[in-house]
Parts: sequence; C-alpha cells; structure tokens
Amino acid sequence: MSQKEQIFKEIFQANSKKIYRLCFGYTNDEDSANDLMQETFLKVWQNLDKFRNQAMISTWIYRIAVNTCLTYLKTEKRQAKDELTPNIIENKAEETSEKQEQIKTLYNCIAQLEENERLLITLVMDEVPYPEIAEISGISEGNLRVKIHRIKHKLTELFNKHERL
Amino acid sequence: MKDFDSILNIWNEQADNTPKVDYKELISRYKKSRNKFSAKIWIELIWMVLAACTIGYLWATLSFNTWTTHIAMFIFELCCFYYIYTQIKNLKTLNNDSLLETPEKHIDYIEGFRKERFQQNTRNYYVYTVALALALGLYFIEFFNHVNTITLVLAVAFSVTWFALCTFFIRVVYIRKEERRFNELIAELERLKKQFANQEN
Repeated sequence: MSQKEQIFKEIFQANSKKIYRLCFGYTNDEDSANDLMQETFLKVWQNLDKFRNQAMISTWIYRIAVNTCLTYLKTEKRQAKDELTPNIIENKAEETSEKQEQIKTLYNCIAQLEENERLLITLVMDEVPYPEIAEISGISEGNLRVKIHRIKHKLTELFNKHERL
Repeated sequence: MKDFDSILNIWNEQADNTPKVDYKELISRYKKSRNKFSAKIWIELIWMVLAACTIGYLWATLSFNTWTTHIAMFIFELCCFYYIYTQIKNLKTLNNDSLLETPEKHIDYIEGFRKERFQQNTRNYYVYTVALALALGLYFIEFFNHVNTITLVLAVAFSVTWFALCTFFIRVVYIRKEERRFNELIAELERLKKQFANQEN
C-alpha cells in the first residue's frame, strides 16, 4: 500500500461515518447518502496533497461534503422531502425496534428542514465545535449561533409533532 | 414531549447507520473514472486537432481557383480552433476546486459555470453553426464549377434543408428546453445561496 493510500485509509476511517450521517441527514435516503459520501471522498483523494499540511482536515472534508450535498440533483432533493407525509411513513414502517423507529423519525424530521438547516443541525449533533461549523459554512459565528438556536427549536417541534402522530 | 437533549441522545444511539463503501473501492473507482474521463476529452481534442491540421494542409497544398474558398478554409480553421478552445476551457473549469470554498462561493461558481455553459450551448453554438454553413456555402462556389447541374442542385437543396431544419426547428426546441432547465437551476442555486448569506434571517 502506498503512503498516499495509507493516509487516505486513515482519513476515511476517521471521517466516513460522520460524513455519511451528514449526507443521510440531507437526503434521507440510503443510496443517495452513499453516493454523496463517495463523491466527497473521491474529491478528498484527488486533493489529498493539499490537505497534508492542514491542521483541521475534518473542516475541509465537511466543507466538500456540504458543497457536494448542496449541488446534488434537484430531483433527488425533492424526493427526500416527499417521503415525509405521515401516510408514507406509516406504509414504510417496518418491524424495527423503538430505538430504530425514533432514529428514522429523527431523519424524517431533519429532511423537513431547509437545506442549510439540515446540514448545520447534523454538524451540531455530531458535536462539531461552533467555530469549525462557522468555518465550514462561511457563516459568521454570531449569525450561526442565532441560526442554530432556531433550527434546534424547529427540529424539536417537528419531532414532537411526529411522535404524536 | 422531548427537548433537544433527548433528540441528541437518539442521534447518538445510531450505531448501525454506517456507509456501505470501502476506501479501496473508492480509490479504484477514482482511477477508473479519471482515466475514462481524460480519455474521452483527449480523443475529442485529438480528432479536432487532426481536422484542423488536415484543413490547413489542404489549404496550403491545393491550388484553389476562387478567393471564396480561401475565406471558407479560414472560417473552417476558426471553427476548429474555437472547438478546441472551448473543450480546454471546459476541462479547466471542471477541474476547478471550488468545492473547497465556502458554500456561498461554491454556489456562485456553479452558477457562473452554468451560465457559461448555457451561453455556449445556445448563442455560441448558433454562431458556430452559422459560421460552418457560411464556410460550406463559400466552398460550394468553387466546388460547383466541377460538378454537373443535378449534383449542384442536390447539394444546394440538401444544405439548405439541413440548415433550415437546424435553425427553425431543432434549435428552437433545444433552446426552449435548455432555457427552462437553466432558469429552474439558477433559481434553485439562488435560493440555496440566500440560505448561506452572511445575514441574520
């Protein structure tokens, strides 16, 4: 294995799960999330030499993931939102544990948010520090705190509403 | 009723929500796609360079009787170089690393790229086909001196029909379709850009 491949392997293992969650939160679809994650890491592989001297490599990877998600096919994004009606949720219900059901509901609620909100809240829930989120999104930290406060409130409301259904 | 911390606990419990891709697959996919993509671009470029060279060679070696043929050859060469230039420009644009920029800048870049592509596929393409038709017409002036009347009429009829079909039917339908797609895409990008604008909203 070449040195480049070894570095890539380490980066992939350290970040792929978080990036996948970000993509899943954005699309609410397993296949699309896998596609977006692959696209993100293909770009990481391509730019690996530029990353080597970066202290916060995760910031760059998140940024690529956010940008890749944002310019994802419009039709796929609509599909993600369409999946949220209570009837569809009911029809698609599988025999899963309560915990899995709650996770599913949570993703459904995230998918109801605006595009930037989906990405920001996923970063928050994955415990990415606020200054890093500000760096990834290009939004000033002050504005970011206000936005995140609103998104948290919105998501909590959506989740409780879905649980009551 | 749950609060945000309870939601956060649910989020942290998702242990089995993992990607189904291995890093080795990604590396091999990258190598394959890169080779395929560059091969396609290179083949197109090589064909166009060959065409430009052939036209240049014919222009330099054959003795044409009319001045219109020289203008035709010049226009053919210009069209070839325009095509080569566009391909190289597109290749450079695609290799741009705007994905490493902030979302607002990345969306800006994609918007600019789409606008340029739209112009290339509509206005510039129209100018390109008109130039080719004009060059062909000018070349025919000399060509017609060496053929019989039937061939002449057939060649003119075919060229006029082809050009009319492209201009008044295919082009109109194509531009309408492109314009609709373009407007939808730009509106979508503008909407996304606003979400990342650095203002409290």
